[in-house]
Amino acid sequence: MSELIDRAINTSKAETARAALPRTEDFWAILIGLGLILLAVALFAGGSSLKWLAVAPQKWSHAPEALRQLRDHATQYLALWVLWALVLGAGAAALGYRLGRFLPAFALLYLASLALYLLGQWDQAAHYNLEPPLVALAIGLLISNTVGTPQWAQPALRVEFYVKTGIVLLGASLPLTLIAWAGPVAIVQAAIVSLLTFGTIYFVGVRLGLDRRLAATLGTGGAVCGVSGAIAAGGAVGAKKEQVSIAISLVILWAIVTIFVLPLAARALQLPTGVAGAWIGTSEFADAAGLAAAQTYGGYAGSVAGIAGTPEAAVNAFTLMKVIGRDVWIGVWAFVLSLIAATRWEATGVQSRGKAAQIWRRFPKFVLGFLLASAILTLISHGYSYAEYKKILQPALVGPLQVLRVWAFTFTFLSIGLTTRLRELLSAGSRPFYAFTAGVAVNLVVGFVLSTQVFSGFWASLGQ
Amino acid sequence: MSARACCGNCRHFSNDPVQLERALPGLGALGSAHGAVRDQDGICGKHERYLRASSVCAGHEFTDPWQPGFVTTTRVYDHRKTRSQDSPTFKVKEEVAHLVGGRASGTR
Repeated sequence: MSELIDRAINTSKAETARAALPRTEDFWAILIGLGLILLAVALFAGGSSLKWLAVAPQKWSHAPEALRQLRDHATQYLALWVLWALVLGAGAAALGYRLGRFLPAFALLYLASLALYLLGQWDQAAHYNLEPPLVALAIGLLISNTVGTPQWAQPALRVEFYVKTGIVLLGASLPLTLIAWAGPVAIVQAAIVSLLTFGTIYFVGVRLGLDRRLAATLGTGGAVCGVSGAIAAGGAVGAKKEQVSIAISLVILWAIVTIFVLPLAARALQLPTGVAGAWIGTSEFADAAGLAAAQTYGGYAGSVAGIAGTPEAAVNAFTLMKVIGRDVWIGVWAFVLSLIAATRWEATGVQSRGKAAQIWRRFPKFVLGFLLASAILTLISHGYSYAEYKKILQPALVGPLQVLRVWAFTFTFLSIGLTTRLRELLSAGSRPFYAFTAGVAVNLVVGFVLSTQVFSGFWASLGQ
Repeated sequence: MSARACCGNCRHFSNDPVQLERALPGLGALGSAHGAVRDQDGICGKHERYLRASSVCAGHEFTDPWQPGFVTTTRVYDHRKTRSQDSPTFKVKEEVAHLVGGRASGTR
């Protein structure tokens, strides 16, 4: 029987290595994002555009105007739903969700997103602080924590799937030259903050008597990439199941708080959009939460007096800071921590070898899609002057992709609220809470100083 | 050659993404069990730890390759997918059935 099992394992192992990637959200985010970009490029090359399909509500003042918009573009909205349902449904099916359950749930999510998108285009939205990401989050949290999100809606609430797809699409509006120019600064700033935040959480945690594995899992969650950081570190060091749960809870709790606090604080300080985006990218704990905060702040540009920069600059600076500066290093953190755990910390009865291969295996591969998207559009726009880019490429090629990106992010923001149950997050215990909160304080202050003082000129120039 | 024991082929280990998101509240809210950063990590029911699939302990027990959720060194197969005649699990079952004397695959 041992030989049979061995044969089974060896057969399966080889085939699984090839088969595992298509069952990750990263793979599908790249496939969908790049697929949409290539479709837009093909249409553009043929003298057409994706514009008809990439429909979005326009500015409106009175309710009848908004209703007229919906009526006039009903076919386009339906076609866009079909497109999203096809590509996201294929991804969801590959991830193991039944298409028959995903599609009705996604239809509801799409309708809610349309309503939010429309609300964001109301000319009084900023006046009443009705920024779509915050409204989406507030409504989602309210439903999830009062009447509860219906079980049948759950299959469509895939926060990470949507945010990764949106980030790949975002690459289409960020020139590769800009990424190469800003990347090193983002990496330096992120490294300083990540090391200080991890160090604070870890040492405060250990001083408070926490297990080293819990302290490291908390520290990585706070310093690198939120929930993803917590599970990567938890697995690498062999943390207890409840320790991973504690880290996830604290990351979400503070991520939700900072979604609201960071844009409000930056607004009070009238930070330029690029600077605020960099601060949010340095100090938010999760990609989806940070994008909600950055997009909210970007929405203030032009509608709130005293805030300089473009709406895009906030999202761009956030993405450079968070994705390039922090997320891509998770494999390295996990590898180093697994080595330390295996050689320096008390034994757990489980042996785990820290192999360097996990640096690649844990690499957030959607980042490659983001870079590839940027490279494609950089290549296509090569040879166009700035004026030509604005006149030809922006409306026919880049603009529709930006609209699709906003849709993907709107799905994300709604899903965050609808999947966050605050009751589940309140059982972390006081000592982990104090340790993590100490890290949050350091993160916020150091992130603020670096973004607004040390590198302020650099980040402000992103919005020019 | 004998099979290398590891959590990935242990009956106490589970790394099915849907089950992981149920077991770790909040994982699906601002994270995901379907992301590349998780690699093939999962939960050991014996030690109640969150472990890498390549870890191992003295309490390791090979999982039963006849079961629909057959565990390999790197992942738990979704039983819905193992029905596919192209899946490694199906091939293994076919081969094992043949070697042990004609038990039909999938009908234990």
